[in-house]
Amino acid sequence: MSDEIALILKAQNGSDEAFTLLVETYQNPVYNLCYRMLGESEKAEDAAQETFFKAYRNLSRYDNNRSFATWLLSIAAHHCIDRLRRRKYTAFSLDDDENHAELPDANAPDPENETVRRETQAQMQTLLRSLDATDRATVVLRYWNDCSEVEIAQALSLTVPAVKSRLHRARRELAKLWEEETNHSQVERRPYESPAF
Amino acid sequence: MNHRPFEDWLLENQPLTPEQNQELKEHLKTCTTCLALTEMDLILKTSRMVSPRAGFSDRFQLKLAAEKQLARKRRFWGLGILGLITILAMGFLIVQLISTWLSSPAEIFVTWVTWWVTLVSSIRTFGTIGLVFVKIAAGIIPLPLWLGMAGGGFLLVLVWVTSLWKLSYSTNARRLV
Repeated sequence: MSDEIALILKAQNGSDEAFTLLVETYQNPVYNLCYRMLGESEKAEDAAQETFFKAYRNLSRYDNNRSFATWLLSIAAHHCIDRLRRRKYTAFSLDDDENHAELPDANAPDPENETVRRETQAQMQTLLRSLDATDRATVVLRYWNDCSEVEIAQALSLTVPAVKSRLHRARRELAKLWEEETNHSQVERRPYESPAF
Repeated sequence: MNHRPFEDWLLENQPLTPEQNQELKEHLKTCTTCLALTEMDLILKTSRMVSPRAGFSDRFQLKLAAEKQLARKRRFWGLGILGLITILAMGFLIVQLISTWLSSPAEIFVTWVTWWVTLVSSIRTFGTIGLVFVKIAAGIIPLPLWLGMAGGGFLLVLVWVTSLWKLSYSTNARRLV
């Protein structure tokens, strides 16, 4: 942690090398947040790069008493929410999603299970898109970035009860869609599963 | 037990007693809503991070260098244009000053008096025109309407100032997070 503070101080004093090290440290959580929010790798890359630019430009305003990760994720979340509000991402490239879904685990003991898991994750990514932009951000920050409700509230400029309520609503919504999805696929599969006579 | 407490347990992620756990298991056998909630929670909890393409920080460095160069160019052109404008303005003032020095005191006095007379007569003319308009309007528009218009104008200005203040406050708040 003290290394991180030293890096931040160096970056605040104008060291680009120090800031690049911070980019390397936080590229995965920031990119993941952008990808989960926007659903496309190219847009996620742009948004993540823009997040680091904004952080670079506003580094002097960063309060060293706060978590740097939360500050960065806050910039990323606000940027993605703004982008989603400015234009609706109606078109969703499935090819892109396949190309950029989670990297397969080379050490996975059961490739079949791994395939099922990846399919489920792709389905879940599609379901995430049905959520309101801020609700989506709360879910991503909670589950992927392990942020507490207080940290989410700070990152999204919300109150803690508002975060709780948004998380509950989002989880209910996702579960409802998941239930519909699984029922639907069961109904679709049934004719093929049963014998013809 | 009805559905609600089970859903609350799941949403709150409360630690459950062995008895509550057993009750929940029994409930999940019959309630598809709670089962979907449990499954979705598990899917979210087991999701992995997605990583960017290799070389993300290199691409950032390249973009940063390009942006810095662009900013340098902008600064150069901005300063250049500002310098040019300053030189032109200074040149204009110097020419005026030299022509004043070269002319006789009587000419300077006449120019100065003419300038002031023009200014004062223009102000008086516009004042007279304005008064004529006000007199005509006062005859046509009744007093309550005048008051209403003045009140409406005041409200509009108030709304405008408040929204500007709120907008700048929220922008600053978001910038500071």
